[in-house]
Amino acid sequence: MMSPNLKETFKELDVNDKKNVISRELILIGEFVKKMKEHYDLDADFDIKNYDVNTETNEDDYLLFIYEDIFEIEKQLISVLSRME
Amino acid sequence: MNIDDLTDDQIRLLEAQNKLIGKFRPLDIHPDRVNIDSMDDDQIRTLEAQARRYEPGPSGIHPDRVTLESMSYDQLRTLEAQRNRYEPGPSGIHPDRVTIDSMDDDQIKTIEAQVFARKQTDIPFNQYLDSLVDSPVIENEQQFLDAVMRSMQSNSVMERFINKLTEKIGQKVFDFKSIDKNDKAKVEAAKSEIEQLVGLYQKFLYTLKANGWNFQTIGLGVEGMKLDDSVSMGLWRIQKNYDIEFKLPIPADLGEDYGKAFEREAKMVPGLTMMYDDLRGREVNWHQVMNYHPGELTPSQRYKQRREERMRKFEQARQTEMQTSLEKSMAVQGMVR
Repeated sequence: MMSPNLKETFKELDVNDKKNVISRELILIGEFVKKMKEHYDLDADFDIKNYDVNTETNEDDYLLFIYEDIFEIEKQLISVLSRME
Repeated sequence: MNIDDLTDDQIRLLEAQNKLIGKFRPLDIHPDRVNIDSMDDDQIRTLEAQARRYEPGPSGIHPDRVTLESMSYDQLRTLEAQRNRYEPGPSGIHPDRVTIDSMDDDQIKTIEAQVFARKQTDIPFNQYLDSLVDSPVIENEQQFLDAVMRSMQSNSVMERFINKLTEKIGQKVFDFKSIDKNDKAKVEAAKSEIEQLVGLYQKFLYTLKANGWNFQTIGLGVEGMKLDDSVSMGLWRIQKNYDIEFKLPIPADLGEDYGKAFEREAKMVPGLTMMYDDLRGREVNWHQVMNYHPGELTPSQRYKQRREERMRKFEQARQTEMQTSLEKSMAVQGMVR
């Protein structure tokens, strides 16, 4: 779980910065998954999009954007888990 | 007194008196009094008309009162002429003022000579102000102040300067969009030129204000001095498209919310609009306009600074938590081993 301090500092962020932070965390997770796939000799050719704060998206667009990344990561993790088993 | 003692004449007199009394008493109305029942239709209509003359009608206006609707065309013209004698007309010129049409040739020649002489004395001030439009740097404050004072006495000087200056600002803003975004030197030069021109414009207006110029004056009032809205919009677009920030008059003390709006919409521009409200003498609170002072943070810059500081704190907290998590994980691994 996140510490109260980290939660508090996240809350203080500008809304665009929050979106950027979430997007950046997903990119990092994507990179970890790539490493895992490479470790198991699996095809690691997938990309997690970088949310650009300058693209003026509304809330719906942003949620779709983020959901695409999360679903992509989930699919890649399933393929890794299948190999592990 | 007994009836038997009365003579025949006395008795007849008494009977006549009784008859007379009896005639009045039952109705208690004097027989000479006019009664509605005794009137004919014409009399009643006359009476009703008389009553109406002394009562206000349904509109609350007494029927005898003269209203515009009840006046003839000639009466209205007379009334208008009377009113115009005591009020300036739409042109702001009092009807009693001597006009060119009422002058003879000699009078006109005298006036023309006076105007010519006056224009001659305006020339050096016009030349100085023209040179400022060409190169908007005030090197001699007193010279500038003298020119402003002169423009307060001569509308043509003021009008000429304001027109030239605002036209030039508009032209510079229009020309800006043809500059290549990557040509940083050109962008900076054009930006600086606009800042100087608007700065001059602002200084002129506030010098007028400081010297008691009445911006409500008919003629070249504050509206006549206003930068065109397209210029404000143009400035706004330049800021967005070129990712720059003009150092122009901005509202002060707007707090964080304004900072956000400033960031989002480049609200510097309304600062110009608010300047007019200030000059008009309207009550302004957070719209108070201040001059931009070099080195002082604009609301946008203050907002950016706070945003960066928050991001920095978050990154620090995140890093600390990651490190702690990793250390815990390593410790557990060590225990297992």
